[in-house]
Amino acid sequence: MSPRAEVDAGRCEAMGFCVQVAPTVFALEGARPPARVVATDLSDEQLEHVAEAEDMCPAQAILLRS
Amino acid sequence: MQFAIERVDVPYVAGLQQLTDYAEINEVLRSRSFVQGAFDMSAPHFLTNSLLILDGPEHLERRRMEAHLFSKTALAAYKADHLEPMVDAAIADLRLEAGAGVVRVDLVPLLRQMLCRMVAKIAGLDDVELGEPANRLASYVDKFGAGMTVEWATADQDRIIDEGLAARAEFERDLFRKPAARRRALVEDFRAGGIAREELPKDLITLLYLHWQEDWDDELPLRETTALLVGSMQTTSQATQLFVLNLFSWFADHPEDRARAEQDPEFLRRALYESLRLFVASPVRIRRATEDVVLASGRQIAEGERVGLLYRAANVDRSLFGDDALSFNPHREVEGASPWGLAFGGGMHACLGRPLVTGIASGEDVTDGTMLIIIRRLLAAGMELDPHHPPIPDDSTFYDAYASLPVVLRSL
Repeated sequence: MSPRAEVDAGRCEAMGFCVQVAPTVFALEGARPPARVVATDLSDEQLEHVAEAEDMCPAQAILLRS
Repeated sequence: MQFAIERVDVPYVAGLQQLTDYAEINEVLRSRSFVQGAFDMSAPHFLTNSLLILDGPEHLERRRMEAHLFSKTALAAYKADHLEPMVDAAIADLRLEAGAGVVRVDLVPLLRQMLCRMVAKIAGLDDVELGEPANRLASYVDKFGAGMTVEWATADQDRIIDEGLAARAEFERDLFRKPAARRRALVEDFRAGGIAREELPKDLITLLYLHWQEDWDDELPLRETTALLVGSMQTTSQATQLFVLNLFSWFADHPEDRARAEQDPEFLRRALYESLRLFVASPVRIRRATEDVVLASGRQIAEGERVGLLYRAANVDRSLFGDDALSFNPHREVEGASPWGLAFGGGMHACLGRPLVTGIASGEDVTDGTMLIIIRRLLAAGMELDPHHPPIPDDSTFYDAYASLPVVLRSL
C-alpha cells in the first residue's frame, strides 16, 4: 500500500498549517475542524509536504501512514 | 498577579477593545486579517525579524523551518536523552543533600535546572549541565526575558531593557558565541561537501545557518535563540509553578486525590490540562487588523486597530467549561474546546512548542510532555508545599509568575 495522509479528527483544531504547506492534500471548510484529506496517490513532493505538515501541526493531528 | 477577568487595566492595553468571548478570540486568532500586534516596545531591541513577530509568508517559512525541532522523533529524544536524565540527576543531588531526612527546596530555580539541558539542546548550546552553567543560563533568560516582555513590567521599563540587553550580551559571550561559530563552520563544511547532512546537529542555530537568507543580519540567530529560550524555559517554568499550586490547593480539599495523582496517570494528565486552562502567561495577547473586519458576532474592528485578546476570560467561559469554570477541577469534562482552552493560542501564531509541553494529548499513542514528566517525579519524591514558607509572587511583572515557591520533598 502506498503512503497516505490522515487527519485525526479528534485532535484537529483547524489551525491551518496543513493547508498552508500541503494545499493539494488538505482542505479546511469554513476554518472549522477537522481538515479533510483531498488527495490520494501522493507524489513525492506531496509526501514531503505531508511530512512537513505532520511536524508543524501543533495539535499533532496529521499522520503520514506508510 | 491576578486581574479582573473581564478587563485588564494596565497602561500598555489602555484604550484597546478587549475581547473576552472564546469564539471571538478564536476567530481573530485564525483570521488572515490580523497580525501580531504586541511587543512594540521590546521588539526593536530583542525580537527584530524573529518568529514571534513575523507574519505572512515570512512567518510561514520560518515556522516551517523551526518545526523540524518539534518532530515526533525529536520530541521523544529531547525527553528521553535530555529532560529525564536532568530531572533524575537533580533529584539525586537533593537525595544526597537530604540524607535520611526531608529536603526543602525552592521550586523556581529547581525547575530551571531540570529544564536547562533540554532547552539548550533545542537551541544549540553546548555543555549546559546541572549546577553553575544552568544557573547562569537561567539568570540570563530571566533578564532578557524581562526585556522581551517589558510592556508588562511594573518597574522602570528603560532600565529593564538596558538590563536585558546587557544580559543578552553576556549570554552571547558566555554560552552562545562558541557553539554558534562551531555550527556555522559545520554548515559551511556541509555546503563544501565535507560532511553529510545527517552529521549536522539538529538544533535551532544550525537550522538558521543552514537556511540563511541574504537579508538576515548577523544577530538574528542570537535574537531567535533568546526568544526560544524564553518561550521554552521561562513560560514552562511559570506554568509548572501554577500547576503545583493548583494541585496542592485541590489536594487540601480532596486528600483522596493525592494518592490518585501517583497511581492514575490519566488523573494527573487531566489535572495538567485543567491547570493550563487557568494559566495566563501574558495577561493580554494583542493582534492588529490589516483591514476593516466584522466578526461573526457583529463586532467591528477597523483597519490598523489593535485588539486585546483576554485568554483568561475566554478560558472560564461557563458555556464551554461549566458553571464552576473559575475553579480548578481535574475531573472536569470538556466538550467543544481543548481541555486547556486557548492556553497555547491558535492559528499561525499558536505555540510552536506545545507538543513538547502537552505530549500527545489524546488517542492511543498518548505521551507525557515536559511538565508531567517533572511533576510525576516530584510527587513520587513526596513533594508538598512548604507549610512554613508560602510562595512569593513575582511583583516585577504583570505576568502570572512566582519569585519563590518553596516545597519539601519527603520521600527521597
